[in-house]
Amino acid sequence: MTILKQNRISMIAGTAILTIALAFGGYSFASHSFEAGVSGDNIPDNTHILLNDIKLKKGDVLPLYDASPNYVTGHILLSSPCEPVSKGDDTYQPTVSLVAGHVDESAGSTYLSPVPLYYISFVSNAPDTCIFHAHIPDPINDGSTTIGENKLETAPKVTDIALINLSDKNIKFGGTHVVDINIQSVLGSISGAYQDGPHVDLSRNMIYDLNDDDNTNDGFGHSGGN
Amino acid sequence: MTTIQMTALAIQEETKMFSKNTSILMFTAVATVMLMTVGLSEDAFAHGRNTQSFDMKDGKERTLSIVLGHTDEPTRPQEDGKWTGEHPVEIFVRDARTDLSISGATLFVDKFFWADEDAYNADKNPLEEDVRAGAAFGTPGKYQARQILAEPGFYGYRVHGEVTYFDGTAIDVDFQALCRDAPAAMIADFNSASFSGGFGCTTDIDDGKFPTSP
Repeated sequence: MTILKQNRISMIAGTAILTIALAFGGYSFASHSFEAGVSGDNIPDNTHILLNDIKLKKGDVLPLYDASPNYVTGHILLSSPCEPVSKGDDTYQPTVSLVAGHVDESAGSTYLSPVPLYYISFVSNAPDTCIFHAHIPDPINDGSTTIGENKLETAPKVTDIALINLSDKNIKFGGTHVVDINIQSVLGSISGAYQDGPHVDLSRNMIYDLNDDDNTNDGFGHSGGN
Repeated sequence: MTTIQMTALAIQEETKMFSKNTSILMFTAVATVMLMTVGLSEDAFAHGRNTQSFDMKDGKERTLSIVLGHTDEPTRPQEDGKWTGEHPVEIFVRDARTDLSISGATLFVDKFFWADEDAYNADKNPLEEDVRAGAAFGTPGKYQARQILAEPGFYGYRVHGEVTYFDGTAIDVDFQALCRDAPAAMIADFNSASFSGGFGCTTDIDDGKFPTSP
């Protein structure tokens, strides 16, 4: 392993720890206008999940968080193996997919859709480890890459968060791969929020990248942005 | 994989993951957030709601929810030695779809008051106009116009200004509503069609005494 690579990995780990530390500190510093974070004496709930040595076969689901019966706001950090969104692209997507919404005891009240993911290139070491951020809920950006009538809007009310392998290959996670979920507030009860389902969109995550030359994949809601 | 299979898989995996200790922690967490929810619901006690749809920059439709009422309902007018009468106009701005609070709105309130229906029919003009409803410190999406209620009767407000949605879309806001215990004819005449529910009217503090004096 080269010194350069070691430094990059250290930087990734350091940034991840800093992100978690900031979350524990009680404030979110993300640039997104819809993230209110927490204030005053409220303490966010943080869940840190090491993915070490977990293997997901095709179609496997790894539930990460269930806040039922409450729908919540929060922030997610995903550290995962990754691949270019398209051949030659400098924006990467995780090999695993991140979905959120509500899994009800009744299928008819279930709503699951891909989460919009923000690729953080400058702390990533593609393709071994890429860092992604997500915002729960994201009221404006598409999380789904589906085109047509089967496309679901990003889940407006979230109780459940999960990883799913939608690729054709097994996904093996290594030692630095983690999911960190920071739940910042409860907005209400999920009862009656979703009906006439199940509504499920199992497409790969839409990836946004604020740090490349392509401004069409910046998404909406950034302070000082579009 | 079908939807049902996926749901079943999710539940199976969830069951495997949870140890006894995790269950205890989850129970505690759920109990905590349920208590927090009770606190949140108090924000909207005895308040009405205005809803209006708009299109975001990308053409998708969204709905703005603006909750209107007084702080510390039920309201009583100021009376020396009994009650301060401090009941600011309270406004909550939210995205109806997600319930996320929306900060950064510029809102103003025109204030109306009538002691009875005859007074309303005689003069329907506001007593004060363009009173700023400022952002409440530390509570994104909450706005207040401070005031001390002076008389029992029917209070009404016209809320107007601009809300900026999360994607930068500017939304003009303009609606009005009268307290819900006013005569039906007054409410039908005064309230905007987009307003539902209501906030309480202001009664004399002695009206709530029990037992009453003979």
